[in-house]
Amino acid sequence: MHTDRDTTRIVRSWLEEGATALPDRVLDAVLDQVPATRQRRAWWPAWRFADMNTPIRIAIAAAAVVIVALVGINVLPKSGGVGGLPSPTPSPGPTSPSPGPTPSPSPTALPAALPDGLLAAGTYDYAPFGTGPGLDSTCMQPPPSGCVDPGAPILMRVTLTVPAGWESHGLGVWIDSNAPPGGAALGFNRGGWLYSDPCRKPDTTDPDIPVGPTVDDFVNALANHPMLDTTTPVDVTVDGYTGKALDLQVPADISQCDVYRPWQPNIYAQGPGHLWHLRVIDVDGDRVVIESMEYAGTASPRRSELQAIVDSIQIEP
Amino acid sequence: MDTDLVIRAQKGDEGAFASLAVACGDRLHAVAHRILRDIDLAEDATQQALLAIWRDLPHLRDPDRFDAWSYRLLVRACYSEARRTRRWTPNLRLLPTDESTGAEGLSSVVDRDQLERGFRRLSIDHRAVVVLHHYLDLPLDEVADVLGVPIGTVRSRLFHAMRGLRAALDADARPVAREVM
Repeated sequence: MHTDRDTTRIVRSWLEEGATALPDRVLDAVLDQVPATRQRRAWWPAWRFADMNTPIRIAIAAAAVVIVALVGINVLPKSGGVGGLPSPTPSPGPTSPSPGPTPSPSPTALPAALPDGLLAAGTYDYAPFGTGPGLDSTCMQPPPSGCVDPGAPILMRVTLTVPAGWESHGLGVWIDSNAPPGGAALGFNRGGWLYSDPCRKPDTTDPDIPVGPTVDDFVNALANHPMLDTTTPVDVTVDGYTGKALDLQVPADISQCDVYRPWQPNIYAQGPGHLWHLRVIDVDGDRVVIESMEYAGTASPRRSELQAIVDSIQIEP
Repeated sequence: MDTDLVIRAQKGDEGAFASLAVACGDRLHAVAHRILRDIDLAEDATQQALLAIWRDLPHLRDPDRFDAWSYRLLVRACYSEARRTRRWTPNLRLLPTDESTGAEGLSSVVDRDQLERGFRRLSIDHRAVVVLHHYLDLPLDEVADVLGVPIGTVRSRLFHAMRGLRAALDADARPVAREVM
């Protein structure tokens, strides 16, 4: 018979045996895939930028704009429209925004993500779910047991009109970093499984409330969740696509949560009191969640701009 | 881990990520191999984890926690590989053996053989706890953090896992062993 101490000693010794070096071919295979594997963008400002004061941020932004303007002013197209270009030509100057999205290589090609940074006022055409794996998933990756992803990628393209002063993070737009007290943002996701407790501490486990693939599955799951403060779903139509709309109010105090995240894959609340306006629509059989966000402190003009962006949305499956 | 490398990779610097992958690849692979007990599965899991690290790095809020976060993704990849192949749950039926050993002086070869069988009978949940705690020497609270479960669950899994491994070792002390799964 072995004592506990014997067992621990033997197990530790046994675990020391075995492979330790990752073969070069595996590492090479990973690095070969990296250029084609798009990173999932975070929706929060990087901490380093969050720590910077406003003058430094403005200076950095201005420097970037000058460089972009010098390099790109002779390259940028002069007109916009569907196909990937901002309608107005960006005006030069130290406070000018960065140029619009890269033109599509052909009229039928899926446009790229929005460019990071300050956007020129104009109309943008882009793929909100990107073209990389996992960006259009309704399941975390790898999927929790029982979560079945639709599988086929969503090649949906969206056209929206953005006023001056808004920024892009690649997959959506925001102002004031979508942070309290006055930020706002618009983004897209697919909905997904819910967490029994959206106050995540730690935020390391899979969502545990299964949700089916339809609009009603997701909307009903949100509306019936005992810990989510939601409004009664109402019918909505976005660019001819029907679905349901409801608001989700993040609690005023989320200080006890590492993050407050109702479902995955999706962002988490960017601050206490974050108000999410959700439009859950069916786009030719694919569930799409349009998420516009604001705070009680978001200024009225910003709210109007956000609403105008939402109203401008055109969808092409 | 070099925090600067992590931050650069978060911003999409592929060169920085390559350096990160080189720096942590061996460590992740070693852990994957010990959890999955299969070199091919371990390579696949490590590859999957490294790509997940690249893909999700922008979501890592605290670069100083890269190591624990990378283990979390690796364990998830191990779950995925195990689910995908199911090769980790062989339906073993061992024939009776003539080996007769006393309680004293078990050879290391026999120990290894018994441990291997005992370990393969454990779930990935239990294996991960054993490897993170006894191979990486992570304290139990850090194991809980990596796995995203309460520390009580970690203690329970470790207790049952070690009891199973001890039973596997002790089984060898019996005159005739017949193992049926």
